[in-house]
Amino acid sequence: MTSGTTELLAEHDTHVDTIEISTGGEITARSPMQLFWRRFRSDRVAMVSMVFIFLLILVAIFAGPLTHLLGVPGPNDQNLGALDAFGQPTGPTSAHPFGVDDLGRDILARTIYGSQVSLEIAFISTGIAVVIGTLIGMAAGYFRGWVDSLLARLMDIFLAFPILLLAIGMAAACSLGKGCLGGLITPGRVTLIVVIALSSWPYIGRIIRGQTLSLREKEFVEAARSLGASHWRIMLREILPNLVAPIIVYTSLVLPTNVLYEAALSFLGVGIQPPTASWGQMIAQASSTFDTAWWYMVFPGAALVLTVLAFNLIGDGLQDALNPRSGR
Amino acid sequence: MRPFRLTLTLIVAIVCAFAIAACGSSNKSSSSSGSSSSGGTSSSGGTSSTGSSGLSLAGLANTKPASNETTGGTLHVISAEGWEHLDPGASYFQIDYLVVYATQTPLYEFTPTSPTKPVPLLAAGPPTISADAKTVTVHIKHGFRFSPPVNREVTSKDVAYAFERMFNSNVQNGYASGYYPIVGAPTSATSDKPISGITTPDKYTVVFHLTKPFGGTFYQALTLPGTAAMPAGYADSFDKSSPSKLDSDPTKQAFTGPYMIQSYQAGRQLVLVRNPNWSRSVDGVRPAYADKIIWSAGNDPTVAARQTLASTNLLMADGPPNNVLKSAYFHNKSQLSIAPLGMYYAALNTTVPPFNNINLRKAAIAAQDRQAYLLARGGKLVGSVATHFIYPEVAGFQESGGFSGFGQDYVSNPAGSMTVACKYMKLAGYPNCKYTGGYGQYGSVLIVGSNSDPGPQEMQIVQNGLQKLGFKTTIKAVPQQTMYSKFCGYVKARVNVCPTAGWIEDFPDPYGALFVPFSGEAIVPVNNSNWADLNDPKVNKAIDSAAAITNESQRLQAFAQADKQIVDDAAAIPEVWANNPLVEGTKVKGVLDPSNDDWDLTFSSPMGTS
Repeated sequence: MTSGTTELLAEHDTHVDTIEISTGGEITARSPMQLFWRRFRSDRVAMVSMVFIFLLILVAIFAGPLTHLLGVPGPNDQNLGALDAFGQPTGPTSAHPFGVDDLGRDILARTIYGSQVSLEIAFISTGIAVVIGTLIGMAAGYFRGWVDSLLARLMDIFLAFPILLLAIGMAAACSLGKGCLGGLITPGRVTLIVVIALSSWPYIGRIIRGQTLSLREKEFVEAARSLGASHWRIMLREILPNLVAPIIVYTSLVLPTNVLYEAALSFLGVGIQPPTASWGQMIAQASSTFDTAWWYMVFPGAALVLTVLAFNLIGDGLQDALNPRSGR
Repeated sequence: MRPFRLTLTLIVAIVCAFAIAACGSSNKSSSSSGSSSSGGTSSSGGTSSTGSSGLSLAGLANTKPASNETTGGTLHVISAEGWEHLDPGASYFQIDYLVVYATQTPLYEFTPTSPTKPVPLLAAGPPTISADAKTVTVHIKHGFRFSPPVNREVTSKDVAYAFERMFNSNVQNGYASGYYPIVGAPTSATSDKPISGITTPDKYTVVFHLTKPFGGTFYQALTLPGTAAMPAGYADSFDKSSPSKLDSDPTKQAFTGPYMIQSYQAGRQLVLVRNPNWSRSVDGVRPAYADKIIWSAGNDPTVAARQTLASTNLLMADGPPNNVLKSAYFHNKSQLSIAPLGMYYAALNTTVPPFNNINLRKAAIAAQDRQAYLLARGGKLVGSVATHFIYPEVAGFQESGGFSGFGQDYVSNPAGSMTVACKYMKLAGYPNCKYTGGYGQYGSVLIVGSNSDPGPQEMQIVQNGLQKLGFKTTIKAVPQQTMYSKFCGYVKARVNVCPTAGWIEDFPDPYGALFVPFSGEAIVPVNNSNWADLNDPKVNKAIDSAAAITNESQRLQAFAQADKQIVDDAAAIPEVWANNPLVEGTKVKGVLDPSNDDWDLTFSSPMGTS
């Protein structure tokens, strides 16, 4: 009995590069990971994107030392000397390579620190959404019947919920005092993570449910059942490993969406609270002065676009590598 | 194929970045210039603060009235801000005054031609003030008529009713209890009851009996819009609702001004048409050139300002954003004017932790870089860094130390001083200069301000200073009207810091600059303008005593002492003594109202000059 990704990849991958003939005449089978990596690395766009994201993660982790190394001030340091006589921000100079904002804060430093917020919120909210979506999707697909009906309707309800309205409502309700639910939901990052996770999990849940409905009818699941395996064991040991490929692919697609969600909510003023730097908030603040201070919007805007694009291209590459038959 | 895809991807990314940026530049939805402020009238003093800016004022628009202005046409007004209260009894906001002074007729008014001396409007002449300054007699003009559906002559009883309704809590007036100490006036009432201290011996005479010798100041306060006559038999049915329906639906008012409100969409649009019962000869003051006035509110300030500069007959009622101001200064200077305004300050709530501790307030002031507020407002062209609360265009400024103020160490350095801040933190019991104490109901220092520029910047400036002292802070950005009505002007909200509040003196006298925003006697539960909730008996007494002095020099000295006491109390962070930059279309003749530091719609002509 094969299980997990191994089976999925072995089944799909029937062409010649599944085996390798060594110089000694031995035939060596490649591991699924080797197969995946071989295919993925041949996609140069995806590889460049992955390098970009890797570098971005490093930038986010080492934002403090990096800004120090670059010789720019901290992201919240207000420098009035960098504003003109009308209080307007000044453009790129050697001291401020990306210019400054309307409080004289360095745009380069704020763009660097903005990556922390974007990645942190995107990864955490996506992680939560994946866990919830996988558990509920698997339960719905595996048990079928009333459990499926109940959970599927729950997903429909969440899908129908207007996320912006939810975010604005939560931000308003939880923005003062100790927040909501006894301090569990406080303004800022936690609110954003909760809202984004709540809106993202049904997409994954639906995919997982469909896959589980199909997988539960496979022979290896029946075999496990006939051997007396428990539901819990079947789901964890037989079905879940076979869901790894779709989970990875859809995670890579949900991630950039969540980066955009964070930016959109911060743009609307219900996300990250000042003075913390966030790309969406920077774009919002820059929108009224774009014609006279282009740098204020272009650099965080470019960072946002490139990040989302890179995540999407990685997602495409993963899709190709994990499911070569699907084509594009 | 692959290298092409990569290149294409990068090109698309860059194009998209610019496209996103470009799209964002024109559709910001909820902001405004933030140049408007609460309060009533002001003087039209000089532009002293612009003198040190190094920016020439030559070539700015001429906003004085001209004798050759043309009658007729439709005057278009545009603004980012919406209106708060258009009921003259409730109105207490700069933008609202533009409408109320065009649609109603207060007893007196400061006009573009008489910026420092009240001009009789509904009144027939100056009041008679008794020797003890406790009785004021006003005669009103014959022939002033209410608009349809009332269609009758205004009488002294209508003036008396206007005062009675100001004390009705349904009308939510913000200044009557402070400026009109009339015998028998209720401290709070839920209906308009006759006030024993107002008598009407005949159809055209009103006599006010005051509780204290206050006649001189009372006379100046008769310029406020709440003194506009209201027909008792008609308005009282509307005043039974809370709030009065004359405010929620201002088209129902009986108008006495040159215009009446034809249609009103809150926060969006207002149309004024001529009042058929108004007569220029009876009025004798307001020329009312335009046949119709259409006002569009709730616009993006950048778009509105640019639209105004590109137009022929548009007036922008609030100031342009800084980037447009800069552009207008260099490219459309003849369409730009600078009016002296009032001042902006960050009120520190003196009744709740942590700023119920005076030393913490002083530390908070000392830690602020107040030059940042000036830059956020548009730089030296639009004001100067404030050091106290009687501002340059108000009498008593020099007595208060002029630009340098009284010399308290926590306000003397415009850039702020952490050394001084630390001194006061230690006095407050925090030897490490970091606040470790408790907070009030909000769990941190709640900073509430306008979400329109420069509100967000100002909130972050004050936050920056407070964080240096270890305060936990929460910022809440709301529309300007909400900031006043639900937070800073609502006493029970107990907001810790209101950094985007501004004050224009109600009349060109230090009493009008100090009483409502700083006297404990002026605190009202809603529509409150004493945002610091300051109720210091020393301040209250100093203001009251100064108001009773008749010798001008001694009076100004006394007000300077009251001003000093307010700075000693550290009730607010003095930010900016402000000017109001305004823009107009190429053809329209915009005339400034010196009392409101904004356009006077009755003196402005859409057709320009002949």
